[in-house]
Amino acid sequence: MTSRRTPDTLPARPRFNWRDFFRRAGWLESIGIFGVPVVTVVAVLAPWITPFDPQLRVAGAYLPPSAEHWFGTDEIGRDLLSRVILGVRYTWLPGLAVIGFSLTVGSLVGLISGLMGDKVDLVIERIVDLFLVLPGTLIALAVVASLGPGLVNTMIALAIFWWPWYARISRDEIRRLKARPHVEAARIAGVRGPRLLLRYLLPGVVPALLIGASLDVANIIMTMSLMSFLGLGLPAPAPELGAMTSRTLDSLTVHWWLPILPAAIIFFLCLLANLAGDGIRAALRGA
Amino acid sequence: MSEPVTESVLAVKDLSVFLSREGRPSRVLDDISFDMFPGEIVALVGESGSGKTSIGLTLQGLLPREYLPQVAGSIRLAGIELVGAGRRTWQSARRQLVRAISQDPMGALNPTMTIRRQMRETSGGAGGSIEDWLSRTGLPDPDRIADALPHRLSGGQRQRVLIAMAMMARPKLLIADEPTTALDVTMQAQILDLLRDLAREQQTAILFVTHDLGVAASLADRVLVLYAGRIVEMGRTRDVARNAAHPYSAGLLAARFDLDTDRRRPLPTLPPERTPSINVENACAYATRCPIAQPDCTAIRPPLEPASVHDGAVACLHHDQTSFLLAQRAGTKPWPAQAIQETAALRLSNVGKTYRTGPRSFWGRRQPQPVLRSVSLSIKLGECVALVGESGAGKSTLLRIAAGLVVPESGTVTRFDKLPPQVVFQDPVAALTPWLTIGEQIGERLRAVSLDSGYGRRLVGEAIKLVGLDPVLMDALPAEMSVGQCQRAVLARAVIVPPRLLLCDEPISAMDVSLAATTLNLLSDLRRRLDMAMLFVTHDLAAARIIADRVAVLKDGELVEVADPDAIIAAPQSAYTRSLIAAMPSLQAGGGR
Amino acid sequence: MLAYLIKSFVGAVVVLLVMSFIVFCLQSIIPADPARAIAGPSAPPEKVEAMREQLGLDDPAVVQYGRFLLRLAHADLGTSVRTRRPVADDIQQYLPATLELGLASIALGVALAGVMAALQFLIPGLGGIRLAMVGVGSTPIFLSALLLTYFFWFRLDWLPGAGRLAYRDFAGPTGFNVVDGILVGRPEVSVDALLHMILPALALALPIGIAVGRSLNGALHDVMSQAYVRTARGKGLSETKVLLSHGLRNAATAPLSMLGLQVRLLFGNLLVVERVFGWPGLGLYTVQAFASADLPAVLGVAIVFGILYILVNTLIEIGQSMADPRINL
Repeated sequence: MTSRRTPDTLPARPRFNWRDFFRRAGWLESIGIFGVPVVTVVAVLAPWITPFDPQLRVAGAYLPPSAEHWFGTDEIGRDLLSRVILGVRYTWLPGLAVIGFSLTVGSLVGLISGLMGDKVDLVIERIVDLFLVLPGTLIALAVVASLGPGLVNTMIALAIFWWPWYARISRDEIRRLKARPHVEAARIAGVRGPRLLLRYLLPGVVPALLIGASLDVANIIMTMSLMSFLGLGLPAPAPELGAMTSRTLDSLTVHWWLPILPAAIIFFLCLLANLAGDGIRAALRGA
Repeated sequence: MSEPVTESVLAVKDLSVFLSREGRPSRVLDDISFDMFPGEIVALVGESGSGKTSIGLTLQGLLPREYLPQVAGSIRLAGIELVGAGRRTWQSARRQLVRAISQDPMGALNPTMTIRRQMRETSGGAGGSIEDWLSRTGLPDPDRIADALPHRLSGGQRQRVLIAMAMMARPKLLIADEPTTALDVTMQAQILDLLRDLAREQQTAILFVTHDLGVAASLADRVLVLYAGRIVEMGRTRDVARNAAHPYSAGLLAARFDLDTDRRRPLPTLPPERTPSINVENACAYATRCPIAQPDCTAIRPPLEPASVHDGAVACLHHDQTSFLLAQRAGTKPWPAQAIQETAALRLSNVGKTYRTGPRSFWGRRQPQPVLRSVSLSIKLGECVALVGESGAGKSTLLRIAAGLVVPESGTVTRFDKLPPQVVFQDPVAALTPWLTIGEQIGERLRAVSLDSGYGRRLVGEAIKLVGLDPVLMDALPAEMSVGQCQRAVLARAVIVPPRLLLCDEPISAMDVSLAATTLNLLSDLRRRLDMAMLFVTHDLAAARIIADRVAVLKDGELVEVADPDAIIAAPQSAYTRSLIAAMPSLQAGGGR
Repeated sequence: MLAYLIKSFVGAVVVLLVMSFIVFCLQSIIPADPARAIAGPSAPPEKVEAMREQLGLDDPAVVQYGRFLLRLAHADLGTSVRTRRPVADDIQQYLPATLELGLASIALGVALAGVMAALQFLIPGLGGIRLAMVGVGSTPIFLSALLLTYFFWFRLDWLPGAGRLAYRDFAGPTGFNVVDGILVGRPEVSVDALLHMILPALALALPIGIAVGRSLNGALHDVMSQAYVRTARGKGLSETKVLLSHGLRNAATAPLSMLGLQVRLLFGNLLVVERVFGWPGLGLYTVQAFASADLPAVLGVAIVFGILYILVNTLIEIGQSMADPRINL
């Protein structure tokens, strides 16, 4: 039995609006929500906005950060800032792609599982369970190590172990919604098929997927930079942030900016993504 | 008052409580004063939002910290001042002096701890072991229950455990916050008896919080009526029940229905709450709803003064008018006669259904448990049949079979026409999709008839008007409306294309008295106006009697009785129905000494 | 309980089979021909062919997979290309160092989580902690490892920042240096081992502590507003007692699941941290294997970590059922 509800009082909650959205998200988190699209634009435009050519020697080697070279220069005199900006592109865009791919595949599988129910659901659930108990990162490492290092292989390996999470989320949400009285009521009112799915079920699943995906952006960036740090990303000349740190690890005590600054940028990207994820969660849960 | 000789056990004086929600403090309790004496049962009656639960929490010092409670005034419990007291004083008061049992016995016990360990934490009083106390509350097999985890127990058993746990500490004051709302009627009566006995036996004062004056009347010596955080009337139960002095109490009493209520005409209801637009500080908070309000009601705050009609007190400037108001109520027009045809709108014959809900076997499969065994029931066109039974009796399953949502394992279901029956669910808010407007949701039923959108919109507007809503609400989202408005919107969706058969699944069980009466009136009106047959599922025999032409009593998946409501109540054929009737709280039963 | 043990054993076997199948597939995809690799680049074709026969490479895939499983059952993980030793022997040598570090960081992480949840819970309006948690949670593992070595070793020189032990030729009976130092009666070895462990364990423990701490804090917040906690407070129990006997136990399930998830990530992080700190364990071994494309070594470690992961998951499930007796094992 439900608890007693408020009697005839005034409208409880106003309609969705962006001001409320950001108020619920919190100001710091709102910075994250704004920051994510900005980083995406930077990543897309990276080749055109670097202050120097990231592949060419533009100054002396091992120059510390200065007004001209904000992040200093590397062992052969390339501008570190330009390389880092390009590195953001190589980390951020593949990360988003993996999330996007996993989200599409996962939520589709989850939808099918949740909508069909019965045997189909059982089989899909077993498969998803299996994927979820496998040590994914580890196998992904092994897969990339076997197939050979490279961005595409990394992306494939990650996506294979990422989609089951979204399958689980969307399946659970669909099943939860299907049991809710309002969906049943819609069905009794004669709503069927695609209309029921699009108007009555999907809008309820999207927030949970959005929250999950936004919180995952930081995870995927972290995992990809970890793989690149371990030498499983693009081969040497490509400016990948994790690899840049890993290759200059030994110069930490002499030229600290070489390993630290690329890693710090990864930190910054993850921080933005985490804040955005927290903000979106806080804002959508409240609604 | 009732026992002026003995020292009061609780003396509350000028108690005010503020809680902050989203940074804004709001007054929850306003200048509350009352006393309680040993062994006395005082009922605290009010609608939800009146602050009645807050009083209980304030007396225990358990107002939620996140609302930054501010308490002013005085609470003296067994001579100890608690307002402004330190944490240790509160803790020892809770340990020895004041205990509470709550509305929701399901959530009030720690799910990961055995009953015995939870009861051992109490162990304040010297008298009796844990098993003694459990058996004293009427629990069979106390040994087994003491070693069980809460989820193995039924709601009634848990409430008994909670009572045993509270009484074991031999508190001076027991706060019972709607302890029976989540329980079936028969269980409810047993728990009330138990509380009454314990109060007498141990001289514990009981503050019984409820929204139902009937329950209050059957139990309490005195009543406090609370409205918007203020006491508007107090007095001996019998006096208030017979001669309510405040128009709000009178309205609550009038809206209450039981087995003796006149069922031929609409139930009296309280006017719905409106915007609290006036400055409540210097006004009567009830003025905006009050049928006898005068201009001075919004200018002066009425003090709590001795009432003229009984020994208690009332806070109303014009309480001499209230009796006049009561007399006026009887004059409503009776319902028009309803033509019932011989053809069945719905016929269920030998319907049976089992669910796998039994204990798990080794392989994790559950044993099948029969929910319905060979039920036959037919509803004629234009007729309303109420299906009465306790939780777990199979009522909802039967309704879902009638709606075509569940396929029975055996038996047949025949409906009069192709148009599927419509269903009104228990929780009207949950039955509306949060992200679609009311108009969109009501309009879904028109898609089957495929109309052009302008005409469709007009039909939706008319349906909204039919159920008594403002057509402006067509573009509102469910979250922007009150529960009562949502209930009407759900009905509008059901009747925009009037079905031959309307199925109602406990539509009033989670509602306050007044809203329940309003909903019953609306349903009675709609079914007559639109000539619908109706199946009304409820656990409340009184509601069944008021709305239905026939009552069917369901127990353990079998129909034990089907007959005219008054015939059933006058001469119940089965023992189960007799126990249902005996358990109904009634104003006439009268508590007190 | 018996049913649970059978079920989890069957589950573990299934997971291992799947893992071994993935490993088997990965081995077979390698473009290089193992027969030619063994026979040598200049060997005549008939010799390569003979080698193929000897290795059973012409048999159907199922037979090959069966043979692969049989070898696995005998703990035969093949031979490392880089060290030219059986992978199983290598793993045996490096596993204790990794286990020692891993267990230490899990313990430290759980402790951190407790402290963090307690701080957040006892001082409600503490926004700073929340921000710090998001911040630390966003730090890639190699950055925290780098910063820790840079400050505490290079700058301040408070703690050793590389290697596992200052005593070069110490070798104890168990391979766990902290334990071995005590066992052989050289407490200074244990102390030194502990000092070496602090920085890498801290780097690994930070993400665990943050994630588990956040989850614990959230669960506690939910639980402490439940009706049964009000019942407990209504009995006049002190707040500490309420938290310990009613709060923690009911809040345990979610943070335990989170711990399981974090252990899953720990395997990846171990590779990075052992690489940064030069910790001579399986992680470093794997990183070196990556660099020299030593596939048998990588896959062998993957299988060992997989077994460890299944073990941890089972332990966590048992822990959850101990916390909540309603969960039937």
